Amino acid sequence: MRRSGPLRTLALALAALTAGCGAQRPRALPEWTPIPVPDPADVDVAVFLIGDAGASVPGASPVLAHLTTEVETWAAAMPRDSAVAVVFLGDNIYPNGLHNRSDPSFPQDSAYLQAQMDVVAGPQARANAARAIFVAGNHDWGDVVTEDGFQNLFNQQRLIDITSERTGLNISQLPPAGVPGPAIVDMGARTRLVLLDTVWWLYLRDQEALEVVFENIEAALSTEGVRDVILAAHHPLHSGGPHGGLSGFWRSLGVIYLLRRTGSLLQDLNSGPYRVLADDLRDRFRSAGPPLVMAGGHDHSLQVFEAVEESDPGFTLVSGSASKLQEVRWAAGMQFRAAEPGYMKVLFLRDGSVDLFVHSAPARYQHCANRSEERRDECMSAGLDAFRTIYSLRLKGPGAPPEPPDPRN
Amino acid sequence: MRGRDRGRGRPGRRFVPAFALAALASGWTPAQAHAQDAIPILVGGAAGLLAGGYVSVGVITAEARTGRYLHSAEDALGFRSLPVLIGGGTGVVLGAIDDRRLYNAMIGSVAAGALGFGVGWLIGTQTAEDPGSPWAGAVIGSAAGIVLGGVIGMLVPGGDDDAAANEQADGGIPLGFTIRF
Repeated sequence: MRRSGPLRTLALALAALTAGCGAQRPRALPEWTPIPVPDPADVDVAVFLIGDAGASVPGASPVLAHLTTEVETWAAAMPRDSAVAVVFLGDNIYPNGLHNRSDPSFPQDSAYLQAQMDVVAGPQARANAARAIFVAGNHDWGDVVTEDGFQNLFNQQRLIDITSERTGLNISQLPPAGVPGPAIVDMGARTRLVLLDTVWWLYLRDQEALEVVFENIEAALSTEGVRDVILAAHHPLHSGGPHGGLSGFWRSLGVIYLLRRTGSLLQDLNSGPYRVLADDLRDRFRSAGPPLVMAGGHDHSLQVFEAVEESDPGFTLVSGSASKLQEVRWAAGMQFRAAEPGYMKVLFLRDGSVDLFVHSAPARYQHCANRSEERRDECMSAGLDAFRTIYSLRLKGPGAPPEPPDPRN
Repeated sequence: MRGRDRGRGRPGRRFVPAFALAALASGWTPAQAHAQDAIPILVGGAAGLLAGGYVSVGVITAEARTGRYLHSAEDALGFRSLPVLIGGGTGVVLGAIDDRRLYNAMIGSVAAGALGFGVGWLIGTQTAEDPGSPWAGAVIGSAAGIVLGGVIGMLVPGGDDDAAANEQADGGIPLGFTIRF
């Protein structure tokens, strides 16, 4: 029996059907010109944004080591209380948050968190009360909606609170476990941090509580006065990474590709609950005015976006490459992207200007664990040396991109 | 609050012996599996796995449209992966006992799947505005088409080839199956 004709036709049809599925046109990013690092005397507040650091082994993460150095430098250069803050943008403990003390995973879970808390444990950071704020991510909630996951989130807050009490470090989990927020932190004369737990939005979404949350977000955005707002949450409004829909067709034989296209994965930007979250936030931005910056992690890369819609934040920053890396491609509004381990620094200047700097090292310096002590030291030293500023942009002030029209007008 | 199905075995495993029994009941024995017989079995198994995988994606997509989203890859295991096992098992059995019906099932699945893709896409564009809706409609429609087309194709008698195959089986004459690309 010969079936070669029909079978070949079948195979060719299937190949033709799937050939174009993973294709994407490469898009060029806008040219950019580096901006100089301002004199610390001209800086009012320095905010560091780092996300998805939950797989960083203490003493073996060049990213955290470099961030610690930067925090020390800026805390020393601005010797006043709370002029420096580090916002950890969620997924602070992989894979399922902080298990109970009796669980075999507890030592590793707590070590991951300790590595991050130590960023503000240096002498200058302590002397000047440099602050670390931990926002919850989906992995901190256990990555599924279960009571165990919820407990893990509470465990994380408890460990942070206990460490703060015992060591005097200026660290906190905001919003507190199980609370959607917004938590408001005013810094210096010109900066307001508004912190949300967007996982609550996706997992629980209590409609009654939500009305209060909306009112509070609008209040936080409309009472800022001269302060520029950074709204920080785990889930970003834009991304060119996997959660933004990026997926090669042939990986996993098209399964993940189709699941992403159909919006079936809760944590993707195109899932129903995530779209509702984004729409809810944009509605608040329309009525109260958008924040200057919305910062998130979630996708494991570094991305900078300008506003696409009038109701978008002035800039969307994705900083989620502290301990994991994923591919990133072009998406609407994208100004910059890099799949490298690193973090972002936003400097609020006394004259009202706001500058962004993106720091990273080559991918091979993501982790220096799992090697001998000598080789780990070599790796850490080389990793620290390899860090450089890979992007900078004036977000506000002379030389900044034109502001989008105010959606309230 | 939604719990995760921890610690339970994959329910699809219980179907494997059922497929084996069905194969034996059909008169097929491992002794008959000459090298040339292995090709339709392999083709059937691979096609069944692919089709089952696709149907699984359709099931997950349909669930997501009703508000039950996948939180992680682990969620895709369990009953949602049953179609993979059913598809693979059916393909193997069909390849072993009747390659003509296997061919009909494959043609039926692809044709009805393509039709379902188009119809589902159209429905998706009409029923919701989100960008995932046409894709969801297409995936659900094509998954339904694959199942329907496969079942109908499987039930269609094999015609002359079918009779010849039965004759060959009765007489112990080995089957030939050639794929040429």
